[in-house]
Amino acid sequence: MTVASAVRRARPAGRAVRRVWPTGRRARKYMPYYLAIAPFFLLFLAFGLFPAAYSLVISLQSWSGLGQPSFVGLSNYEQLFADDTFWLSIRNTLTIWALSTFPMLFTALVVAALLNSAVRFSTFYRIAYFVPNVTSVVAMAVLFGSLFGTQFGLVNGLLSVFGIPQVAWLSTPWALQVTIAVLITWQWTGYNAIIFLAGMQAIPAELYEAAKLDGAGIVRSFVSITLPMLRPTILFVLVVSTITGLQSFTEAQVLTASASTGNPNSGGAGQAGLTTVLYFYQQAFNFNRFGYGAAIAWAVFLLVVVFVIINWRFASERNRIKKADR
Amino acid sequence: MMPHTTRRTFLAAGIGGLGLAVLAACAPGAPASTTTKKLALWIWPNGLSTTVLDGINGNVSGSGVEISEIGGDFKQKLVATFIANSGLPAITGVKGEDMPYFLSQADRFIDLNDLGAEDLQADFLDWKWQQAMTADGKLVGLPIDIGPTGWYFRRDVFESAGLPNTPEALAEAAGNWENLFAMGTELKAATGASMLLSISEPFSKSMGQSTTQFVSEGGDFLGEDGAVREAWERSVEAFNLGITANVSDGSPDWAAGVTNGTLPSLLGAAWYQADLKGATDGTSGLWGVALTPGGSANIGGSFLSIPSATSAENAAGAFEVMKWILEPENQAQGYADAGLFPSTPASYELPQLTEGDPFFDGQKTIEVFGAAAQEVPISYTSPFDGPVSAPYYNELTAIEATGKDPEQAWKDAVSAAEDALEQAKRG
Repeated sequence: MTVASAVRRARPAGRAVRRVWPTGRRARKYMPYYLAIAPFFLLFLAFGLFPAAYSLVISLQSWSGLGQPSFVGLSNYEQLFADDTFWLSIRNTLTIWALSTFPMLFTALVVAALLNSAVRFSTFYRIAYFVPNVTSVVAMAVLFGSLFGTQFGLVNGLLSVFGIPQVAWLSTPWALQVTIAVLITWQWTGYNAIIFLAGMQAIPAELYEAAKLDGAGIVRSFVSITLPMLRPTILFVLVVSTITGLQSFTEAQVLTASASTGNPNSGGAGQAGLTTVLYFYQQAFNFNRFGYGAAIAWAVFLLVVVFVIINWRFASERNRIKKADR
Repeated sequence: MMPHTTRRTFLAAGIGGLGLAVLAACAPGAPASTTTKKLALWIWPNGLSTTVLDGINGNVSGSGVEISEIGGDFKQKLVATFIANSGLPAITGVKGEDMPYFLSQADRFIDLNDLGAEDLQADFLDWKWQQAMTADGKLVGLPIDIGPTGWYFRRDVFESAGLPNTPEALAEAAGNWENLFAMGTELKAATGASMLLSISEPFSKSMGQSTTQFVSEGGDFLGEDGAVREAWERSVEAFNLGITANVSDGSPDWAAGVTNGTLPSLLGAAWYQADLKGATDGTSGLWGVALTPGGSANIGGSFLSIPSATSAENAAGAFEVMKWILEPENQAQGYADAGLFPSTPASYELPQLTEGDPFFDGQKTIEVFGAAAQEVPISYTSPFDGPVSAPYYNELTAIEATGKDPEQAWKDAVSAAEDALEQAKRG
């Protein structure tokens, strides 16, 4: 018998112990609840938290996937800082994020406001706007590849009606980024509109009625009531969009796939479609540099954290100013 | 108390059920390995002929074979199973592009020479055989199929441009790249059509024709001069001549081009004809195929391997199965069923390959591809070739997409490739 276990045995079952792991009647009372939530946490531990934590270990190693990993300290991160392609991928990601998020949020707000007003068949419209979000991204990217084709794409066809010359959407760097951003916008606008709609429906109707009595029109009510009351929802949507936007991968990968034969997942024209996560995928899974890939993944994580903090600060700062005004 | 009990029972049942589901999901191969002693064979969809696979159990003595078609990222799933070191199949497919990587981990596989592969070597194409062999002579795979290249062309468009339009005449007229470029200029002037797909095409095909690649067997950088520089200059010349279409392979614009005749000439592997046939409506009979100008190359083609976790007894059985699957008759069947071009020249005499193809105006394409298959050069591909070659393609694309100065692009490509090799060696 070791000393430690002897001490443990000798110690009376005090309050502190019971608080950590309830025994007796309390345990019997709460056990079903713990059991009920356990499956998620067990699966999350095994397939979420552990791999994420382990990737931090891998990022400190040099590992080809099958061979023996060797510890290299921070050298993957040092390499990352000096890697032009990595910084290019960060620029691409931010550009695509900005090009998609702001139009998306604006459109989603407008769509939500329209759905919130008394239109007929509103359930149908809500479902219709949500459909892009549950459609396979790969299928949509293939479709967008056709729509944005240079010679026979519908988009160029439409532009030519207005006398605008053909744009090589998928083989010009800036146009490629626009195409990816349009695809992301298309995919997420309906989703965010539904969240905005839920936020709008939580706004008390009396506010609008009072505003109406005071002679406020639709636009005035929207700007003075809907937008301020919706601030928490807007913040939530912005944060979630930032997290997903900075991790965009599939859209870019599928749209540039045909340009990448022999040079897989390189990001297409001028590497403009090389998002950071796509770069991670290429390094780890095409080039078998798992340590370096893990380092890129953690860089993305840091980037997301920084952006979320900026978003949060920005939004709560303005909340505070508003409150101080009152 | 009644509702409480039922709720708890329900919960327990639910959790129990979930636990079972998790267990089941974690052990997909378990029942097969415990209840029967069939050999497991992993292959991707269409990687082997189903007719041949169905025939294994009747034609090869032994305990039989259990086939798993694994979709998605095959290599990654195989690597993950290697790391887990359990549930490995007795036989697995290995894609040609992944072979250099697996060769660098050759101890994960059984040396097929120990099982008598040497006796089969004469039946297979030598250059393909060499691709699965380590520097010290260990053989980790038997070739399934190959991808010899040919020059696909539209007879009608070539005729209207005043160019030769039969395979024989073309092979004669354009035996090398210079002649191809000259014909490309004529084609452009006469019809506006492009001879080549993109600026990267002469580069990738020239590298395929070369006996050296980007990294030497000793790990030295070869991207500064020699074959790489020659291929680069060829690509830039083609681009400057204006004979490249600047279209992505397989894109909607590509499909439109090959159908309407603005893209009447393509360099591609034997399997590329399936892409063409699928994308071109109403052009059947207008196509032909000739030998690749400047020499034949190979794109793609896979192997069958035996992981070293396989027991000696199973390995012997597995090798018998592989031997049978890859017999010339069965390879010919694979060509008929799945377009897998045989790695055994004896197959080229068999009816599945010698038939004329109406898509190519009745041409017997084996006369071109069979000859090409024999001509592919032996060359060493390093496991680092992927990251080292990438900068060249990126910079060529930059010339095409943004008009970057070709000499600057070359300098950037060389320095990026050198860095990439340095980094890849460090891991």
